[in-house]
This record gives sequence, structure tokens and C-alpha cells, in this order.
Amino acid sequence: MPKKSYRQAINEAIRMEMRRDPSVIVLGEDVAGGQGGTGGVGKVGNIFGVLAGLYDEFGPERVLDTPISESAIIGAAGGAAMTGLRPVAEIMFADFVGVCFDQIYNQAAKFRYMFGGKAKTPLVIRTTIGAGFRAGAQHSQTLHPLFTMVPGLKVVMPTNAYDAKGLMIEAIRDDDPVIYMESKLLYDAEDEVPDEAYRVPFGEANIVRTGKHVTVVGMGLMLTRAKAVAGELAKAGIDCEVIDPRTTSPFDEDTIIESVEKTGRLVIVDESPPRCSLASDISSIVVEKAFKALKAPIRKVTCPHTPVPFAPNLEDEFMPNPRRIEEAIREVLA
Amino acid sequence: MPATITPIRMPKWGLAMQEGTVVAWSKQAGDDVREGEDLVDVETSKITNVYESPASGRLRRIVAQVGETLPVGGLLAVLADASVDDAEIDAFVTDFQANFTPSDADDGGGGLATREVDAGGVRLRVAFAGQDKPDVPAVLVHGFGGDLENWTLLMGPLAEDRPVYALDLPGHGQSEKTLHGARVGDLADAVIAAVAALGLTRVHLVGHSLGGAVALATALRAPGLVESLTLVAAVGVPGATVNTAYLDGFIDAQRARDLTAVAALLFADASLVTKDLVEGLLRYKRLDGVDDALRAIRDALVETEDVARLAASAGEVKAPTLVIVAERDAVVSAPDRAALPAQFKVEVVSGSGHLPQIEKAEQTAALVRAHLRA
Repeated sequence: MPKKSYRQAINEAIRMEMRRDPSVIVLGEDVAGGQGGTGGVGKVGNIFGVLAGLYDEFGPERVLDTPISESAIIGAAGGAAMTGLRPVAEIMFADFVGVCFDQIYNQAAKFRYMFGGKAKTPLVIRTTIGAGFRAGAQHSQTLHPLFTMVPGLKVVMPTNAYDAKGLMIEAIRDDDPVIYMESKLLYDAEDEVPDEAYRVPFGEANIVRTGKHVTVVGMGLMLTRAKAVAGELAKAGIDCEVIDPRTTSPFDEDTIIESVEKTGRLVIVDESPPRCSLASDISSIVVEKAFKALKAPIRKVTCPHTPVPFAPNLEDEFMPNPRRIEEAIREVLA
Repeated sequence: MPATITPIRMPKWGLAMQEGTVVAWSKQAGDDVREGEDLVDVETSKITNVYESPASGRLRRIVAQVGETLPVGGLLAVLADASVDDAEIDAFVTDFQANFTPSDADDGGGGLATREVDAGGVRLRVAFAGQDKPDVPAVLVHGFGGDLENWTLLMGPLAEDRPVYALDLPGHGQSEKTLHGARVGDLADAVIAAVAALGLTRVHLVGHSLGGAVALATALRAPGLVESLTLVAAVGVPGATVNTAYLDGFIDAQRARDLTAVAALLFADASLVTKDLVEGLLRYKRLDGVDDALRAIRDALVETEDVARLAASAGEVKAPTLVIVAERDAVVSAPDRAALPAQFKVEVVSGSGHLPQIEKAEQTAALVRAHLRA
């Protein structure tokens, strides 16, 4: 089985769907890239290289570089989706979503409902999340809770290259708006990825490691950190069950509840700020539905309630890191 | 005195195994172990199995703790006489770890060697081994929803005598998912085309489950091609019936937990259904075209008379035929011995579910190897 990076997996998924279905288009800032540069148009393929080669293959009618206007990107994409295309729009950093949030939460998310089920909005919005990139407070946030709380949006957070491809194909074929959040620090992570097209369904968590002592849930990059810590703790006889929700909306409560009913202990690792977050949401779900199974208080490992610091040493400490994850796991087991 | 120190290394079960995880030790440090005694349970991506001690001695040091994953050949433990002191064992372990690189132990070049062939317009993946061996080649055909990796534990032993080819049927594994016909005869035509594309003119055919029916149909359609026939837990053998609940359950299961319950039907020992095994099956089922292919094959199997006609024609097979029955098979029932053609030999693998080539690998390999040599 060929090994591919998370970046290649996303590229391959979009490319395969564009080949399969002529209604799939890509639009956003620098998605072709290279405008005005020496290499020529299309030589970049988004600032992280995720869309490399798409412009050359599909041309300017299906790979559209837009002005620097998120409200125009999402407005155009939402309208195109309602009128028969399947746009894959890009918001370069999730931090920029503020200027187009009306088009997302009050328009695209509600079209199906407002038009009595007669409209569908097969729109994918790709965006990037996460700190650790030395990009400052306005390019580093992890904003999945903003989208997860909106009924009518589906929210996807792939944690590995295999899921990245299958979840992207599922997102493009889905008839509702999907927010697809790419963890910047995972772009080079490799995994075995089939050459063929496949779909990873929304709303099914992945138990990435089975264990009996403590349940550890992690989203995005944090899942990979939780998994690494679990691997280390296994050597000390601590047996963690590590769960990747894959999608935060729809959300697979059952897998987490069943796991907590087995382990009695829960640690949630989430890079978002701690208030009104997915970590607090998961905590409340488990308290409501599996309270009697709990043998210890739930521990949330999040960033503090502050902007992402620019100083590298502070940024590293700001993010949930292996030391803090391990401390939380040991604490619920104490 | 290094000669009295014996390293216990991660075994290599099957051509595709690259690493294993220690699940449980049957012995404690300080225990005496006899050669062939259960020593350690090892989990691979395919199966969890007991590793029997390859030597006798005192288990002086457990190097790999429960939960640790080691590459094939990695140091699990150390056996040594009581006369060897701890410092010597420490030095041995340090020296071993310093000089060990996983590639040293990897005799198969990492996983199975595969190629693709054009079988009458359908792209099929084929794994091969033993190309340098002189005897008549063997071709292995997996069952419904399976793939060539079902044979990894059998390929090694057979490849000691002869070239071995295992193929992914149309709609399966990494072969093309668009079927050119879903009936057993269509799949047999694909096998015949694949054998021709491999440049082979006479082969031992080994089929498992649905692949048994395909092998039987191949022997009837192309008798000159088939040197011998081995039918493992096979459909199409007189009296054998398919549990359609398995077929439907396998097709319908979309989630890991549903598929885990269905996969449990495959084994006598349900603990063999590992998370990795289920994940592998799910990854196959998610591929575009697989659902359609499986439904078409299922419908052809259940709704046509193909299987009954195959069973009625079994007596026309001229090649020596071995029928391997898995004693605790919950997917394909045992054949009606009274109805079997006289030239069919029957062997029963006791304690095995539907996949004896995995669940009772050594015993099944010995039976197949002997039949192909005869």
C-alpha cells in the first residue's frame, strides 16, 4: 500500500472527485497561486501546496483564484452550491472566518431548512487550524467549536492521511455544507492510503487504541499527541483507550460513552480555548449519560483562555503537550 | 560464555508480517521452559497467536513487556542456564540491541511482492513467491469479501517447493472493482485469464470458500490447466451450504462494531477478531465499487442455481482433489460425504472456524503441501 502525506491525501481526494464529477470546483485565495510570480499561474496550489497541480489539470474555470475577500468566496460558493455545483471553497486560516460567518452560519447552514427541504447546499469549506506554526494570534486558532455549535453544518477534523482522503471524498459527495478543518502541523504526516476512491463515513469515531484503564479523546493534532502519550504509558502498564471522533458534527457520543462505561475515567485533549468548547461539551455529555460509570473527575487538557502567544516558548507551553497530557492521565488514575 | 545464551526473537508468521505486539507472557522470568511450550502471545495485524519456545532453558530475562511492539527478529527475551550471571545477560542484551536492525530480519523485503495483470480486461493484483522453485506452480483463490492476504500464512510453506501466486478476485482486495460478470463462472473466467497472463500453462489450484467454487468451476472449464484441486471450506462441494446471514451481515455492516460481530462468525476462537482485522475489512468495504460488487456476487450466489450445478458436476473433475473441512465452520457447512465423488479426498481441520489457513495455519499448510507434492 503506498504511503502518502496528509497533504497528498487531500489533494488526491479533490483531484479524483473533480475527475469523476465535472460539477466539483475549487475556489479561494491563491488556490491556483503563482499570479504575478515568475513560475506562472498554478505553480503553487494554495499556500501549503495542498492543491498543487489542480489548476494545470482542470484550468481556470474550475480552479478559481479569488480576490482577498472571504465574504465573496463563501457567498459565491454558497450560491454555486444551491444552483448545481459542488464547490470546495478555501478559507486560508480559520481565523479569517469572521468576515464570512454570515454566509456560513446564517445562509448556507440554513438553506435546506428555509426552503422547506427543496434546496441542497453541497458545499465544502476547507480551512486550516492550530498553533505551533509560529504564525501569531491571528493565524493559529483552533475554532471547531464555532462551527460545531451551528445546526446545519457538518464539521470534519481528520487526524491522519487515510481519514483525510476518505473524509474529503465523503464531504464532497455530501449534500450539506461541510467544514473541513486541516491541522497545519499534520500536512507531512504519512499513512498508508489506497490509490482508489473511498469514503469514511461521518459520525463514526475511530478507536485508535483499545485499552481498559482510561479513555482519552483527542481532536485533530491533539489526537496524535494523545496517541503518542498512550504508547509511552503502555510501557508503564497504563492502558489507555484512545478515541478520535473524526467529526465533531455529527458526533459519535455512543463510542465515547461505551468506552467510559468500560474504563470509568476520561481525559479530553483539545487545542481550543477551554470555555464553551468541544472538551466541555464532551464532558457534559458524559456527565449526563454515564455519570455512574465515572470513578474520577473528568480532566480536560486544553490551551488557556488567552490568545495564542507569539513567543515560541510560550506557544509550546500554551498548546496541550505530551507532559500535560500525561499528567492528566496519571491524575485521573491516582 | 555466549553459547549458553539463547535469544528469543519476534517470530515471522506469514510473508506479510513485519512486527508483532506482546499480548501476554505464559512464563515468568526465572521459569524453566521446554522447547515447544507456550511462551508468549503475540498479536500481529492479522491474528493473535501463541509463540512456542524454540528452545529449552531458563527464562532469564523478559525484554519485551506486555504492550510493546517489536519488528520481526526483535529481542523478546533471553534464555540461559543458571550458571550465566546477570552481567553477562545484560551485556548480551545490550550487544543485541546495539547490533539489531529490523531489515536484518526481514527476509521478504517487507510485505508481499505483488504485481498487476490484465485478466481479460480486468485489472487484478497478484502476489507471488517462490519464483526460483522448480515444481508446478500453485494459484490461490480467496473467498467472498476476502483478498490474497488471506493466504499469507500458506504462501511461505508452499513456496518452499514451487512458485505460488495468490490473486485478488475482481471486486476484491486491490483488484479492479468493476465486475465483468458476478457469477461463479465469470470469476472462473477471470482466474483462467489471469493464469494465462502470468504465462502459466498448468497449475495447482487452491480455493477457499467462494474461491473454492471458482476453483471448481475453473477445473471444469479448463481441465487441461489444473494439475490438482484443493477446496478449503469451499462452496460448490456437494452438500456444502453457505450461511447467507454471513453474506448479508458482511455487506450491510458499516460500522466497526457491526462488522466485528459478523467477523466473529469467521473464527472458532472469536478473540482472533482483532481491531486491526476489522479495520482492514472496513477499509476494503469503503472503497468505491465494493458494495456494488459484493451485492452482485451475493445475488448471483444465492439467487442462481450456479452452486447446485457445480456440485452436480463435481464428479467430472479429473484432477486429484482434496477437500479441507473446517470442523467449526459457521459460514460454509460441511459437505455431504456420501455425495462426494470417489476421487475426492477429505481432511478435517479440528477446532478451526471458516479460515483454517489462518486459524490452524500449520496444520492446513501441511495438508495442502502434502496434497500438492503427491
